[in-house]
Amino acid sequence: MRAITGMCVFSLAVISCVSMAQRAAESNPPAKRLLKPAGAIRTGNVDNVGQVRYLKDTGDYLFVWKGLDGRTVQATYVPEWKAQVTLLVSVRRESDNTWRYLYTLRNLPRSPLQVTAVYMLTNVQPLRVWVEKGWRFVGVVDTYKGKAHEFAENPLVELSSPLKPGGELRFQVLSEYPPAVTDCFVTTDAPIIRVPEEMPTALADRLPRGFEGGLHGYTLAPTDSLTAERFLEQWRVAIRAGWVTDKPLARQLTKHVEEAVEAVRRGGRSAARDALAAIQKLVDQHQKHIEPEAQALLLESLPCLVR
Amino acid sequence: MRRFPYLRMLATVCILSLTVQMAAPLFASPSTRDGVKTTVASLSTDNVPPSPKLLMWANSRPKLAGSRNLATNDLILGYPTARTQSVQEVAVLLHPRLVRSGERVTVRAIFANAPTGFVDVAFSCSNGQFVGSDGSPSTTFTTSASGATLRGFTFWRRAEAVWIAPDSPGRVTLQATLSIPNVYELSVQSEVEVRDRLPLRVECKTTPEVWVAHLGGHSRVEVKVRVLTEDGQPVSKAKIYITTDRAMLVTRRLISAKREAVVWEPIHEEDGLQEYVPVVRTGVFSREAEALAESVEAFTDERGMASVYLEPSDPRGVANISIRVGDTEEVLPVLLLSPEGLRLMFSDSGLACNDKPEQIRAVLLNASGEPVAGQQVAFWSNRGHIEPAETVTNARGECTVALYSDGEDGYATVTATALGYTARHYTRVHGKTVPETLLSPLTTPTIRINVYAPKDLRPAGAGFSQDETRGWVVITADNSFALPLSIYIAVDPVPYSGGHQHHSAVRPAGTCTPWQGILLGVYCTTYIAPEVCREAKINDISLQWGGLFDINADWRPPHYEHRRGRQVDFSNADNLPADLQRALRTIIRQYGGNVLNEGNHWHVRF
Repeated sequence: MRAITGMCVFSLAVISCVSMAQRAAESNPPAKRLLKPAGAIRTGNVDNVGQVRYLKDTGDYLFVWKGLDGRTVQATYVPEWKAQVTLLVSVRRESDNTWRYLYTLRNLPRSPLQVTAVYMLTNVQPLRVWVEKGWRFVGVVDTYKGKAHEFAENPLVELSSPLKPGGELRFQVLSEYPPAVTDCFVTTDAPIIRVPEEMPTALADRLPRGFEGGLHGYTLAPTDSLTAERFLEQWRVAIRAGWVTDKPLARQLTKHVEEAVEAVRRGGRSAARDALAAIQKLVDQHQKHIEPEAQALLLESLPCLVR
Repeated sequence: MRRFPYLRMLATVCILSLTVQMAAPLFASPSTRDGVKTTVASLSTDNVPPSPKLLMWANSRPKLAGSRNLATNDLILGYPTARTQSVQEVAVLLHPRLVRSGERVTVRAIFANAPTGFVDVAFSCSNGQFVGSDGSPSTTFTTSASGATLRGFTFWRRAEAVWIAPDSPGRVTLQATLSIPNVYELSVQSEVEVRDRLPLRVECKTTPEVWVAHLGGHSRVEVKVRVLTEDGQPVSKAKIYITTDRAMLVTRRLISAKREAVVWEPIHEEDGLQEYVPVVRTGVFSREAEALAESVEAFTDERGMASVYLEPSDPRGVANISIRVGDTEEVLPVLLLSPEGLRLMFSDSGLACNDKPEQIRAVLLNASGEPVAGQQVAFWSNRGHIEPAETVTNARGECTVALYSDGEDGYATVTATALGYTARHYTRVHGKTVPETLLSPLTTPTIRINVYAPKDLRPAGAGFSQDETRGWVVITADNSFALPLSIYIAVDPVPYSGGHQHHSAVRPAGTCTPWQGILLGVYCTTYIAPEVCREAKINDISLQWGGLFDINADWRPPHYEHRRGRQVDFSNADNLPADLQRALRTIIRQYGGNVLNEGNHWHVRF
């Protein structure tokens, strides 16, 4: 009996440790986890027509207002940014001078929502695209943010389903253009806010529109307009996004990138090549601190610029 | 709707083509074959003819006295001020342009607006051999032409023969001639290149094979291409270039406002990933242009197949579609016809005897395929006599007269004129009573099959009332004897919406009740469309001609927010299948909107 009790205690301890590790991992999101929008929803009274309250226990928002018959009316908004999603990308140079972008979209196990589509802002038409069955490449679509590659669940096939929590979706893009940092957005199946009657416009204006209600982040997509200035801007975005995990290394790499870009601006090819060689050496030495996205920028896009 | 360019994709409707397959007839006839499979263009039965339009003929009416036994040309010359315009007679030969030496090839001849009645087609070749009905090879092969009808009128006739290519490579000329001896002849020629080896075989066909503007339910021509290796294996991911010598508009799937088409389609599956390629990169050509400036680019799927759509801009003549895969090029002619003009056809026996006149029917249609009613039609014949010699078209643009024998044997050329159009019909006239053998069912040469069904049908639950219909199959022999046949009906649903097909989707077929039985002249069945999906319906949006939506015209609730003019209500969104609800929300977010569910509708704000 004592042995059994001991076993149970040990099992509980193990489960508890695993669970704590899981929680710790999720409270320190990996660099590629997509983020909630900066603005979110402003709470408080709204023009004397109602108020917005944040519900701490669920992470939802409560919209309260006086209805047409004078009674208090309320509705709950479930934000799409409650989803926990990562988007990883690595870029591979093919033998025919094209680039293959390998994406992995993960809906983390504790995510409460399913993912229905992902957008990556770029106006470049790919040469080929590969997508897992059940999803489809819609094409280079117009969005209110600009042109984007859209991957979405495919309602035309029987296996169609949104990406469930714990699920992973792979897709690949083949392009003749090198990678650049771009914005990406995901949409989810968060329940639509149900209102018992029309919500006052001032209150409804607090609800996020379009992609603002969901997760966003940075990823790589092909670009046909790579310039020295843009590359430097994008490299700084990459550093802010945490794609180089070691800060001194990030500073060192940034210094070499600035040298290379400056050399390209001046037309000094040999100086640019020297900077490129130094970067290559650093990447070789510190691969584990440099995410594949940052490696692709340094080893695929920057050489294109120098050439 | 400008904000929802893809919304139409959510709605899916089925276009049906009925395939009628006949099993062996219950009694034998030398001319009927077992297992004849015939696909017949669907015809609209619910199309109410438009109200008659009165068309004036500015010229004086011709005098018809003494019309009997006059030569046709004399009659035409008798109207110096009238337009004389026959419907265009044109022909094409369908066969592969590249064949292997010794290969057996099916050659099809199509003659548009050719004479009705019993006509023969002779196939001949400069080299190689046609296979006769007894299996013996010969350089010529004669067969009877069968007519293809639309709304009961023969627009074109076709005949088929098997040709065996010679053993040596070279160019061969094939010819088909539709003729009535000493009366009428229409020929068409084309060339075949015979090669020792064909590393790639390009099979192509069009649907429909003959396109008639405004009739037959096809707004465009689908060009289907299949690429095979020498041993018959499909070639996937092969790049195909398609051009045409007539101004035609490629309308495959989405066409942007800039008239650029880039459509991504899955063609291949590898390691659990589906490969998508841009199917058509460019594909829009000036409607006014005589020739195309650019080619259409397409890729074959894993079955080696690809297809594009062409929209005929001028429905007169032949469009040659060139299909090139690497060094292999095939040319596929498509007949483009206008329904405009006067047409004649015999209505029953196809011959006139002393005791039995032949009924001759005329139809007068305008360029939109609409009947021209109340129009006088004059008839002549160089043999026998016609009663009445003049008559008026009814609301369907039709009129009927009778041709009587005058006691002489031979062919009669019946000519009719109306509105400056002329039409001719050739028929046999017998001096005595009809020979018994001509009316025997055992000598019936052809069987006509007409399928009457609406041209398209919506799936159940799509928000449209028409998801059920009755269809009729009418089979008559040329001598009007009805044959008892066992029949079954198969439905081939095409996933179709927003002007384009969904190739990747599978659609259930729906049900026909009954779907098999014994047909004696007419067979009737009820078709019920399957429930496939539903269509999102918008009820309140900014007004069609500008202005904001205000339900009670007081700018107060309900629908108060619609005063902004950037709101859309979807009345049935909650009833859509879950995947389509998610797709609708994705589109709304893509265009910067959000949704509030107000119970009986989605209130969408932009």
